[in-house]
Amino acid sequence: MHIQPMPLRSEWTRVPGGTMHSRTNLYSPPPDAPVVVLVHGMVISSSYMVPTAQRLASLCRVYAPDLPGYGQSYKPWPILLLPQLASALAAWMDAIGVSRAHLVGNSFGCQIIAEFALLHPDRIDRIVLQGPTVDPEARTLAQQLFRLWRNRRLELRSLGRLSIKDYRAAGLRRAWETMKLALADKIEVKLPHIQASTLIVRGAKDPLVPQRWAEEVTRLLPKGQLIVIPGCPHTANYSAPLEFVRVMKPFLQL
Amino acid sequence: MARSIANSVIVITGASTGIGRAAALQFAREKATVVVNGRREQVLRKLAEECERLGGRALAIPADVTDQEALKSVARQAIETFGRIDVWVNNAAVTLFARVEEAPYEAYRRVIETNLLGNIHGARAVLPYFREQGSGTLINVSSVVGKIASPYVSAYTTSKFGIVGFSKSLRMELQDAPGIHVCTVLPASIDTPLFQHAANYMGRAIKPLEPVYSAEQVANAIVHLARHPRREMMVGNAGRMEAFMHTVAPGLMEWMFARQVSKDHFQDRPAPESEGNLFKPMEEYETVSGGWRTRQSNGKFSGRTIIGTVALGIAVGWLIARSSSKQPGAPGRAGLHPLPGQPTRLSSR
Repeated sequence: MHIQPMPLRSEWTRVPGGTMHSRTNLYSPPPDAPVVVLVHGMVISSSYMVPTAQRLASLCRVYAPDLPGYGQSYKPWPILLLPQLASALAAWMDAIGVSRAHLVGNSFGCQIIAEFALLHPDRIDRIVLQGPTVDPEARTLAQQLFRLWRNRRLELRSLGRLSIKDYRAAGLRRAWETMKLALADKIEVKLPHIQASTLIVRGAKDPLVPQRWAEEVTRLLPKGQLIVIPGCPHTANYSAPLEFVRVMKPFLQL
Repeated sequence: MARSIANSVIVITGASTGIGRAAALQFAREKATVVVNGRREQVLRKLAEECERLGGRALAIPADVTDQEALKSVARQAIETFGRIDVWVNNAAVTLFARVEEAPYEAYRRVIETNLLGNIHGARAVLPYFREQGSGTLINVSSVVGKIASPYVSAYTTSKFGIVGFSKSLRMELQDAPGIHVCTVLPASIDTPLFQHAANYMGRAIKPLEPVYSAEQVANAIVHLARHPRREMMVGNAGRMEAFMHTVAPGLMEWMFARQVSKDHFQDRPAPESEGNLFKPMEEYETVSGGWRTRQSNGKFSGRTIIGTVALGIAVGWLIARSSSKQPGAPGRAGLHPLPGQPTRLSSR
């Protein structure tokens, strides 16, 4: 079927602790349509998932939530740690009435999904990890910032403006704490315990996820497969949304 | 084009040998991602490995271009594996040497199905994805005989004329999509295994018309078009001259070219009837070159013959044009700007 961008709408949901914001299909898909939840990366919000969500909206029921602390959702302090973020995601899924879904994450979102898969394996159909972080061979702030800086010029220019807005919404202290959280997490320890079928999508030019690390992630997962998109940077969901949706479409059977 | 070759995904049909293979290797040298298609899986696998050694990424997908569904599946697999297709090269072609009335009907039909319908199948397979992307370059490999005709290869000529027309029509249809380009490549005589692959019912062995150009020259033209798309591109100056001649003096050119083909397109030895690679691939060939450029002894005068013919043709054409402009009926239009394509204008250049 033809993939074309469809409009989205915002939705606010009461959850224990506050209100969570998410984006979803403006036009309701058929009730039996598969559900895809897009999990955003570090300090950013669902806004950079819009290009991907718009294209998925013609194929399935899509949700792009702002996790607590980020975007337009409630801002708990101190920040939620990984298990708490995973539980918040599960609680939000309860609130919107979704028992199982495909989870699609970018960057730090992949770390949240890995945590979620260990805590709530029965609530996951399939997983797509796009640009999973953090490469253990460069697990220092300096290395990651250098890689982020190298990646910046490969992305669409507008991503920079968009992330500044999200960083401002989260605040500098929260951003700093989140970075420390991401760097402390060892995703490679969790990957071997994920039972769900997982697709790893790497942008061929992604400096944050070198080919070696992407292959290692695939190898560590019991049911992992790898796809590399030529010419694509770290944030495929923003800079190459059509390509990203095209490669995950057969995997998620959309 | 906005994307560099290194970031592009290129699909090439008929990549096992000849021009398609040369193009695949050339794109791989430029670090592109290449999807190679042909009928032989083993040969394609080896080619894909060679492409990866050259620094590109490669995927081999065997399919027969005469099968529309099979080609659609090639496009779909490329999209599902790499997310996009930037360039699609419709290159697969076969040929048949026979007089029109003597050629076995199935063989005749098969040439048109492979060359012309194969091309159309490719375009129909990739265009929905190009539309979705809003960009893409379709490169159709025709031939100089898509502009001028050649005797004893009427099926081939017809298919190559068809490709030129199809490309023109498609180009017009795509005026609403400025990011999508359709290019036609028109190679002259090229050193590929095409002449070994040819079905032959002429009773004599075949050789290419001199001068023979290398397949790499066509590959370079294809890579160039992927970067800078344009409508039509000739490869080989002999072809350029012949096409020009054909515009200036079509009747004379047909007469001369028919004589030249009868004399220079065949070897002085008999050849048994063969259906070549029309219905199934010939396993013994898996190279770019057909070895025709090293065989100097064959037709050493042909290159000169062509140049002489062309020079003579220009002279005759110029004389004809000059005399016709002095005819009594002409002065009435003398002050007007000549219409495009009118012989007076062309000969005055």
